[in-house]
Amino acid sequence: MNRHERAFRRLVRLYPAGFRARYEDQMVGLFADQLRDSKTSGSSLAVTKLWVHTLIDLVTTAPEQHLRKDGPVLQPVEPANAPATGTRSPLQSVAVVIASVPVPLWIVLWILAPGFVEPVFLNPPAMLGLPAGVVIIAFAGVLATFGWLLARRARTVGIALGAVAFLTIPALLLIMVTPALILIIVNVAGAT
Amino acid sequence: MPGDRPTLTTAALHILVAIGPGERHGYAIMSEVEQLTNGALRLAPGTLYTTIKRLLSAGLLEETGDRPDPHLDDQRRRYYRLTPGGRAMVASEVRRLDAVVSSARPWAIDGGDH
Repeated sequence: MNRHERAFRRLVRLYPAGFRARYEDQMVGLFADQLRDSKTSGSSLAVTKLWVHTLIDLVTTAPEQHLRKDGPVLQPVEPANAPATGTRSPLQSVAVVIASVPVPLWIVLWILAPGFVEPVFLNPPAMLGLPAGVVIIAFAGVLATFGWLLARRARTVGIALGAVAFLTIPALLLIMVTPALILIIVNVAGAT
Repeated sequence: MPGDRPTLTTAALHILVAIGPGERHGYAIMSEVEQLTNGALRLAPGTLYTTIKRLLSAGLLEETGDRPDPHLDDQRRRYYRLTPGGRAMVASEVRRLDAVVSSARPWAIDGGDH
C-alpha cells in the first residue's frame, strides 16, 4: 500500500463506523485502481485531479452519511417537490465551490505541509481535555460543513452567500490562524 | 407515461444501467459509467458506495456470493447485480426517458420548427 492509499484509508475514517465496516476495503480498492489509472494516463496533473475529485466527493458524501444515514435513491418527478439541485445560479454555484474549500484545504495541508498543522496538536494549551488547537479545528470543521450544506441547499443566492460569509470564511480563518495562534500561546507561556 | 412514479437519482440510474444484466464490481461500474457518459460522469468512491448502499437498502441491487479465483482478482472487490425490482425500475426509467426523447427529438436534435 503506497502513501496515497494510506492517506485515503485515513480519510475514510470520516465515514460512520457501520458504513466503513462494509465498504472501507472496497473504497480503498477502488481508489487504488483509480490511482493506477491516473499514474498511467501520462498526465502529470492526473493524480492531483484525482485527489481534488476524491476530496470534494468525500466532503459531499461523508456528512450525509452522518446526517441522514440512508438518503433517497429515488426522487419525485414533480418539479415542486424535486430537490433544489441542477438549477443553481452562477453566483450560487460559486458560493458552493467556495464553501467546499475549508475541509479539503485542511486535509491537503495535513498531507502536504504537516509542519504547518503540527502546532494544532500541542498540549497544553488544552480545552475540554484535548489540545486546544484540535478543538478549534473541529469547530472550524463543523462551521465549514454546515456552511457547505446550507450553500448547497439554499433556495436563494442570498442564503448561499450568507452561508459563505458567516460560516465558510470564519472556518477558513480559524484553519489558517489557529496553528500560529497556538505557537504564540506556547511561546508566551514558555517565556513567563 | 408513468409520470406519477418517482425517478431514480442520476448516480443511481447510471449505476444500475452500468451493471446491466450481469454482475460487476465497483471499479467496473465506475469505468462503465465513465464510458457510457463519455467521461462526463466519473464516480468517486464516496458517491459510488453510498449510492450502492442505498440501492441495496431499496432492494434494487444485491451482492452476489460468487467470487472469482483469488489469483485472478482483487479480494477487496465485491460483485453486485440487479434484483428483479431493479430491472423493473430500469425498464420503467427507460420507458419514461424514451418518451421524453421521442417528444424532444423532432425539434431539439433534428432541427424542425415546431
